Amino acid sequence: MKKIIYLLICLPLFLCMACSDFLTEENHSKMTPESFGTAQGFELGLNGVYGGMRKFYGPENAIHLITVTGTDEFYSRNSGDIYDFGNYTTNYKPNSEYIYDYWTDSYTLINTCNGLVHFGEDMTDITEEKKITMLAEARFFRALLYFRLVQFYGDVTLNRAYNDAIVKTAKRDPIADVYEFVIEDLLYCTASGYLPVGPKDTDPGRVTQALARHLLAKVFLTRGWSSAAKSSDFQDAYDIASTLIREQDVTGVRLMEKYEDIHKPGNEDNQEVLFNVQMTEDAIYGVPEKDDGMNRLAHFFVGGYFNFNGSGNVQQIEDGRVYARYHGTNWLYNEAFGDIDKDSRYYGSFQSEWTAPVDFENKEQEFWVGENQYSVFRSGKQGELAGYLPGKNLTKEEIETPNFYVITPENYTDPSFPTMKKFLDPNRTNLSFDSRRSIIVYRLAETYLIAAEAAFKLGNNSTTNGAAYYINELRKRAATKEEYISDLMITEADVTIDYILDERTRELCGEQLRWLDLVRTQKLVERVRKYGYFTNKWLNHTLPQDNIQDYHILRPIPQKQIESVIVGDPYPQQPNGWDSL
Amino acid sequence: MALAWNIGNEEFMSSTTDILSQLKLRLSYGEVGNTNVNPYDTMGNMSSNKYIFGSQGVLGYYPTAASNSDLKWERTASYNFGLDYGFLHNRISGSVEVYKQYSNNLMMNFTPPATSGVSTAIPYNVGKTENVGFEFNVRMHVFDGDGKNKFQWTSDFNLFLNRNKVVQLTEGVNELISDNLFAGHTLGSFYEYVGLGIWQDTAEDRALAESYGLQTSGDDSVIGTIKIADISGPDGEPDGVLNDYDRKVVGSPQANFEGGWTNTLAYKNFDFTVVMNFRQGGLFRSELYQGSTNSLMGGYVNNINVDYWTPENTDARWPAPNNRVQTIPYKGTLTLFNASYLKIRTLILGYTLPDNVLNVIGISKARVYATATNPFTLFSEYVNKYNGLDPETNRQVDVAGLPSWQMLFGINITF
Repeated sequence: MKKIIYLLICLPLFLCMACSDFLTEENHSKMTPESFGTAQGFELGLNGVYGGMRKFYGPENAIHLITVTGTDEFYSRNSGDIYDFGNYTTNYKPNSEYIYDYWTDSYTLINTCNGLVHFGEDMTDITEEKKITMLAEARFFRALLYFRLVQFYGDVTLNRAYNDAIVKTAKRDPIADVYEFVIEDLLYCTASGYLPVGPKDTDPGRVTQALARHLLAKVFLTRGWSSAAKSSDFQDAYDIASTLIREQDVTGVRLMEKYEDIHKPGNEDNQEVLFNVQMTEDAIYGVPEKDDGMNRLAHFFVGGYFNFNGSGNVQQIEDGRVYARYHGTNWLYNEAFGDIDKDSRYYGSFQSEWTAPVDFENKEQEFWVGENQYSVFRSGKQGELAGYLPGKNLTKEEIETPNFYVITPENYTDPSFPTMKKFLDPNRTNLSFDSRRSIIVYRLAETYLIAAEAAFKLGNNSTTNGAAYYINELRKRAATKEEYISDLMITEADVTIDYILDERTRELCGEQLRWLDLVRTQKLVERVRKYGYFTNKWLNHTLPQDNIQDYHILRPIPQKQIESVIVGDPYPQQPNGWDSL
Repeated sequence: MALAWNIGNEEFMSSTTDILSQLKLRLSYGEVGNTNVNPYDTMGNMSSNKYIFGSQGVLGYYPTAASNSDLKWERTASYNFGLDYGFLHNRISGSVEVYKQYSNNLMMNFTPPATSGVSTAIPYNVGKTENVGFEFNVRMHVFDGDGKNKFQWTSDFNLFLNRNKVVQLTEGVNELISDNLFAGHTLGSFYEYVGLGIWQDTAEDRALAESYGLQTSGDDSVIGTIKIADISGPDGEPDGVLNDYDRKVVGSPQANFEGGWTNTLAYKNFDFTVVMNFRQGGLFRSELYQGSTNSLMGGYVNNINVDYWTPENTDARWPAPNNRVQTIPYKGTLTLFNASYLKIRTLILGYTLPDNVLNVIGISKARVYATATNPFTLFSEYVNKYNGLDPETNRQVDVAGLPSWQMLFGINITF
């Protein structure tokens, strides 16, 4: 009886539900995407996109992994993604980490740009002029990110609008659609009066109309080579690039007088630069003075110079931290730069002299001249010249006479090779610290090469207004002395696509563009098979020449992307190669 | 909400009280919610960064997480059925319990695709799970003495097991690989390749490797590396290619059963206690073998002492060291171990000094004792064969902070 009473008393408890089904919150202190509709919020979001560029330029895993290496210029040493991408090993797979990171970072920033463009239209608290400029800056980055995605991955998802919902589906859109979207954005950016004309008209590091024109020319050029080409592409590329070059006085962007000054420390905002990723010495907003991976680009190209500075193991701050990741190919060191005494670009790109950090005496150096091996003893004093890498082959007498190490290209080894010095930072206070230099992304010299390539595709190789003209302008600037200029000039007959690519190496070696240039001109596999090797590599390392396959002209769709599409059609992998890996 | 019925006290049970001294039936039902969500997590988080224009530093914000205004509270409903029993004037007593729990709207991290633009993992109602379990314990006074002239032995035994299963996932999919959730399997399952040992330098292995498109000579030769099975492809059938489709749920951290057994014996002023606990079944991941202590990079960094493959030592467990990769491919196939064990947790031996000896000195009671804590671990393959330290864990054994074993000697004196 009692039990039944207890049961009845318990029954009503069934009916009490503790709380409602949904949670409502209101956030009054945190920033939300809706705040992009105010000038202050929009600026914060736009700064977020600029800041996002620092993910692609500077860190250990950054865009250099997929642009510098695995080409006819450089292969990779060391291990991990850098080794696998640079040598096309079997560990370079859809689940490789940086393949996913680059993809994710790009889409996150594109979404931010979409949010800025969407909500920014509502801004009322600034002038119409300023609003258009800010929208143009956002659209420039959206175009840049999509342009890179479509070059690396082919057909990619084209998000035209902002999204903050949980999406479980995705599809790949044709490259033609992506290119149209990119060109639409860049036409907005290059419209008269929307963006500041040139870098002199705005703060360092900001997007300018000159930059947008350069990128638009490049987009037309790239599309012209692709399967989405329109018949007017090469002409449009040529017109925009040549106009940009011709209007130097208006934009303020012109070639530097001397090649070696372009990449000198301190010159990162020079007159030739169209776009750089700002780093600088500010401790909070720039690069703090320590080793935390914000700008490691300075270290990647540094060769093992302690092998020839007399010490055997001592590094110096001004000579760089020996990461020795990117090693040049035989072609790069022996042939690419031509006559390096007349063309200043070899010595402008590669270090040739190293001082001794300590006194040294009677150190044996063995060296080859052709088929013959010799040896000589070296000695030197601290602070004096200890290692000389002339970049060309010398006679036995020339090598053995000096007291310092002389290493010619035929004597380079896997660890001993000259530093590509464009990103070197001698002003750090500690050997292991990050570089604090801004990283140059685009400069006017490339515009000349874009014009040359477009002219070549139009069949105009003339030395007065065609491909040869623009190439000769760069070669004129590169001449070490005026009397050599005529030796460096080329004729109409010299211009081929391979010559243009060779000239790109001479001018832009290591500047994080090469892989895309080779893919655009459909020469990646051919030139890597021809030039992608180094004869004195370590035995247990491999080379891009040995491993590259036809399907490597596209990066694989990241495995995680494919796995996370759980509704609708599966997200397809690249066919004919990556999908059977 | 609970209901209990003391059957033993019922009128109709009075005749059995000598044998069946207690019988109580318990039923309960309850619902609990989960509030484990950070504030504002459903509103779409933004990340911040810094930039500089020349010398003008600025702060930036960009959205990284989706907003989920549809997030519901997670609700767990449990049904519990228990029985307390006692026999022979509670000389043997204990209880039995059976339960079942349902969690709807399980709240766990979900990772949207990168193309959504907001692909950071966020809390989401990813599915439903259920738990079914059984618990049993018994306490026996085997010998009911007083520990001095009559032998005393008390024994406590308990056994429990739990079966967890993910019943359903969002959108009815079978798996959310990025979030480690698999329908029909337990939470925290291990999703791995299937290891088949090491590729050997035999004609048979070479032919098989080549049929998969792998190299058997030169820098990228697979001879000496971990061999995995081709179990599936895009169509769900083995496809002659070794890739990410060849992973499956290879095991779970869930035990088949666990329990403990404590025995206390006393005779002639000596007392001896043994506390054991045991577990059978389940797998765990050993960080000692998975992490950087076992990188197998061949001279780049130090390594724990493992038996690795060389052309002369071909029946080793571990692959040949390789300094051209940053992580040995498929290493995860070798770092899962059986989580079974029988642990002697505590051994106590004590002696209470007889009264007549003590009264002379003026002490009313004194006992000397020795205690050993965690002295033995038996039946654990990880400890006995693989030099592991301790297999006791939920899912993963880390390298730091493991229990140690100790011996303690003492004396208790009462004045």
